[in-house]
Amino acid sequence: MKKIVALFLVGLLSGCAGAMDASRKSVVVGVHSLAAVADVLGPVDQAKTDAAVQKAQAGDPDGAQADLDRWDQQFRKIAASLSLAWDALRALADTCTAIEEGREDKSMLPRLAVALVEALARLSKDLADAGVKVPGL
Amino acid sequence: MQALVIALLGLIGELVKRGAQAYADAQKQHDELIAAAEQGLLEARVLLDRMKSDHDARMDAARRVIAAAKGGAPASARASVPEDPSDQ
Repeated sequence: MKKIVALFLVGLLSGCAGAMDASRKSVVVGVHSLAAVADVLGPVDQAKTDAAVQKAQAGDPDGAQADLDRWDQQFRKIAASLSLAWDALRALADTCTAIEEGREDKSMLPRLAVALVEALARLSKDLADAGVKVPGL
Repeated sequence: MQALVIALLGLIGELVKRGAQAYADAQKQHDELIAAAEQGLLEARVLLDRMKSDHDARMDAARRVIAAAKGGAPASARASVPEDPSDQ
């Protein structure tokens, strides 16, 4: 996450063409980070649901149901944050194209930077709340 | 004098050639970066959508097992995602 933010800020501080390329590099790093989170989340999701199933089979279906509902809520929060981050990266890529084609003003970039940082901060918080650790992020 | 002019023209020609090459290289890198960003966005979208549908499938399977356990029926299923033939 820090890499994406750092790359984006470097882009904003450099010149126009440099900012566009740096912003696109942020998009590339960003989507790889989102993919890394999704890769980690799959096995965690499997483990959480398996644990709930085992708990139900061991004779505590109510406890299993509560565990499953809690995890489902956490997962959906993380998934929503991932979608929000993806939207922010999509908007950044689209705006770079629009700026290069003269359809958009460079003044859009700081607003997009704020949106991206907020989305990544929200994702980090949701991952931390759910106890999900993503190596390298 | 003529030799100097020829040398200068040669130098200018070389500079123009190198400038054009540098521009072409930068443009190529720029195009590759755009393509990488677009490809990455598309792949990430597919991955996120699949992650959500896998989660829904696991939840459904686990809820069936829990419901069976609540009803006293044997619950042997594992909350697994059905195999995706595209992974084969």
